[in-house]
Amino acid sequence: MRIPGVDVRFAIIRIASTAALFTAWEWYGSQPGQFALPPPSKVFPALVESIVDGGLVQAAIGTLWVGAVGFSIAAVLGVTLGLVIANVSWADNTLTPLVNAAYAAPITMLVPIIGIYTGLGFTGKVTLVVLFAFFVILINTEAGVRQVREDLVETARSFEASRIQIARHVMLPSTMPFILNGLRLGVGRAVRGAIVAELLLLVSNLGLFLIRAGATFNMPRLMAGIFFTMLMGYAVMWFAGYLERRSLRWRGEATY
Amino acid sequence: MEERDARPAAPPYIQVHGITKRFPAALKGQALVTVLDQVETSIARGEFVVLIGPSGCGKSTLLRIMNGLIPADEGRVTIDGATVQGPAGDRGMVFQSFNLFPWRTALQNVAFGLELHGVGSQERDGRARRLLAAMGLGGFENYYPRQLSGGMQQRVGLARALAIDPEILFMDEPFGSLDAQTKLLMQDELETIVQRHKRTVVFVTHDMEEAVFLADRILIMSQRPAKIIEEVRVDLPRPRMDHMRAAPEFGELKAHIWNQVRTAQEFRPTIGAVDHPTAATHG
Repeated sequence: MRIPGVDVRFAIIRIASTAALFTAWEWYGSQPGQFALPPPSKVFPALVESIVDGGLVQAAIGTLWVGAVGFSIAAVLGVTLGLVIANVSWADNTLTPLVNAAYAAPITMLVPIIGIYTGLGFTGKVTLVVLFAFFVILINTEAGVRQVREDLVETARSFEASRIQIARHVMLPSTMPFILNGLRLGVGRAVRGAIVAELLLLVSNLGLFLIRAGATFNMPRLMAGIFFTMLMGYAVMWFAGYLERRSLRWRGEATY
Repeated sequence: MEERDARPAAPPYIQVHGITKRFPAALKGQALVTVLDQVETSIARGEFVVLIGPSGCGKSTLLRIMNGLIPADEGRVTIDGATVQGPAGDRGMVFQSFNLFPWRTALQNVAFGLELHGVGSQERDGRARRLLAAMGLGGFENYYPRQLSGGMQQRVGLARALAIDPEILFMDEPFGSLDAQTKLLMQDELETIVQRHKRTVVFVTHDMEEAVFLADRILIMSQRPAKIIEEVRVDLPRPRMDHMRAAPEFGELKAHIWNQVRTAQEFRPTIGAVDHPTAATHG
């Protein structure tokens, strides 16, 4: 996080570009006959209204809860399996092709299977979130272990470090930046997964809010929902990035 | 003048018996490269021994075998009569590229070995703090390695090795990546430390001046497959002082070593005989 006043130039650029975007949006949305994309002057009252009547906030909390549960499971599984794959060659040989195939595939296509397998309830939604967030965490963790500096491992060995001590004092801290980066990307994907689950698997929370607004052609309300969802994603990502930077202070500012 | 022999032999502390090491060739399908070929030597307790030789001759490999970081293919190393089977807590190592842990502060780096050996945090911090202060790094305890200059980083590296109070200090071209002035300062400092703590030091370098300034005895190695082709005693008084670098004796020793190293480099042992006529015996 930057201290206000230090980066005035960037702050001005950022505010100016945001203002320009909203102005353009306002202009475009107010064109006669424009229906699908209402202007901010209609979206924001709808946003305030949705927040005040409690529907949007409650929906967001429900969605975030699904995301959080799924993300936690994905984090544990992803980090653990990433460490295993990077250290155990047979696990690497058997699992890496599967991981790559799954990572490149759109997880959404698994929705029907998940629906049948776990049912359409909470478990199904969480399962989808796990699948959304898991692979990026795993792949990052694995990449982290592979870049551990051999000379630092040797240094630890010269102090008679055991295998476990090497894992704890060398492998883990060197891998940490990669794990945290994977977790940050995973958080974003978890939020995405939760919303997809609530749009496609079991319509509820934010998904319900969006679908209901869309189905009744309440475009300002729909846009308010989308806007709020994006804002929420931004906040979650910012927070994750903040935690990441905080725990990696040893790398210095220059890295970011 | 260098071939002084058999002074009343101090009991050998480190013994290197017929150490041979081969590495896989750079290209697939080629034969193994023999790096060390039946290396024999011994080192007395409290002695400062410098290994010098053409670059790539396997000095660092020999050092790592002596420390137990890598196994030899043939032969064995004994320390105080016991065969070396791996690194041990009473042997410290200092590396050319410092190898500080970037996520640890200077203090935490110095305390690393103590932490591994289960020393309580108060005691290890106190010891690390004293060592850093002794190295002129008081006030830098909470700096991360990236915030320190090369010379400061290597002081931390040296303090880290000394923190475990090692019997033997293995140093692998520790000042090789420092600038010329810092290097001289570090040599002076090392001399002071060695004088104060009286350790056995095995020191790898390819800098003749550094070798003469620091060593009790210099082992000159040949090109690969390397053997020790000569050992040179340095009888300059201790503590070594900066002005000794200008002494005629100092210059002569340096010139002699350069001559031997150059010869070793020119006579590729893969073609000719490795045994140098003046090769001294050990023990």
